[in-house]
Amino acid sequence: MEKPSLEVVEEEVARALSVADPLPNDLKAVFERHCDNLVKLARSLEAAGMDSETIRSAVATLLKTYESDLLKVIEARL
Amino acid sequence: MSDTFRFKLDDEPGRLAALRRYGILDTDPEKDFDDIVALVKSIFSVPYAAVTLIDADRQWMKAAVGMAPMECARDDSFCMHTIRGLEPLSVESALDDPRFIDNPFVTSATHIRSYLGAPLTTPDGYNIGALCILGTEPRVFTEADKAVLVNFSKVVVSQMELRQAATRDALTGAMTRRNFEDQMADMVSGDRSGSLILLDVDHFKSINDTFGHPAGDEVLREVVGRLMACIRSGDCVGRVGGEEFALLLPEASANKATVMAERLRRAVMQDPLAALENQRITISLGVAERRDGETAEAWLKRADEALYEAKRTGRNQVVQAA
Repeated sequence: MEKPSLEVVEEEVARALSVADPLPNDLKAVFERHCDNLVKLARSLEAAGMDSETIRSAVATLLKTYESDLLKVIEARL
Repeated sequence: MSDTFRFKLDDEPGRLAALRRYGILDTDPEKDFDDIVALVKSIFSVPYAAVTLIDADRQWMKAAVGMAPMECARDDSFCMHTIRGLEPLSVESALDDPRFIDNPFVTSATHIRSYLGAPLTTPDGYNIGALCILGTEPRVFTEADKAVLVNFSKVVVSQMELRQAATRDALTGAMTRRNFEDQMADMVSGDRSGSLILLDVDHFKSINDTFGHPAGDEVLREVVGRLMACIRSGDCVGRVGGEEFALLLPEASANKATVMAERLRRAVMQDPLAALENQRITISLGVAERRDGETAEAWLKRADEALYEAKRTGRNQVVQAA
């Protein structure tokens, strides 16, 4: 049976957060806030009647872009 | 925490300073913001979506879809109304709303008839812009629509925070030297008045040698925390060297900046530090007001000379540049 979209989103965000441990504290806090916002966004999209695929795709896009930017910030600080 | 405390709707200078701290105005398009407006447009099935920022007298778009990013007069902006409130602004029929019936985006070929905007609220409570959708037909927006747009607006702000983090010193949270110099360059290119304070932690090498580098790091964090607690909204603090910091005080005369520098000196030395076995630290400060037409380099040099004089003549004091 297909997992509910919110569960998939929360798993995806948890996966992203699990690799956040080595981040400097300031970036970790910013990243955690972003992930929290993505979960809230997914919940509101579900409440607005959006289909699972739209929700998963939206969150995956936003998370992927953010992770790429995060790497750039870390590189800029090295 | 009350809304009155968290949201600073009536503090326009503070709001503009918050906007400038993000260093995002007049920057090139970026994929992350473009992705967000594209998603928003698709989810709401509207012709236009945008991330707007409200400057002193204009609205500037960081990202837009359905139209080219552009700027317009602040008075012509729908989002200018959005940033005045805490909640999303919904305009279901612009032709029936006296605020927008004569708006150029309504009367021109753009033919805007409906609008929903969610303020971009910074963590310190300023509405610096909005995430908005615009339609060419009247439309009723549900509470669920508003909740979705509000959550997208929070994603925009957290994306902006990440962007800003690149400009912050990881240890202290002060601006990086490069970003601080950019702020100075902005002031100089706009020929705006203001003062610069350069300061240095006294005997920092000895602190590191005696108490170790972790204690030295704690001292730097503590100094910045105490500086931040003293400054006005709109002032900037940057780490410009190992134990050297700089403050930019827009519109402050030399005398006002000297009063501020003295307040900083006292604030830093006031409480002992646990990391230094309850010893106090002191700082030396040099103050220079920008002269008419002065370059950033010349201005910085005068502040540096004043700081050198403060160190040379005994430390733990403020010296104003000639």
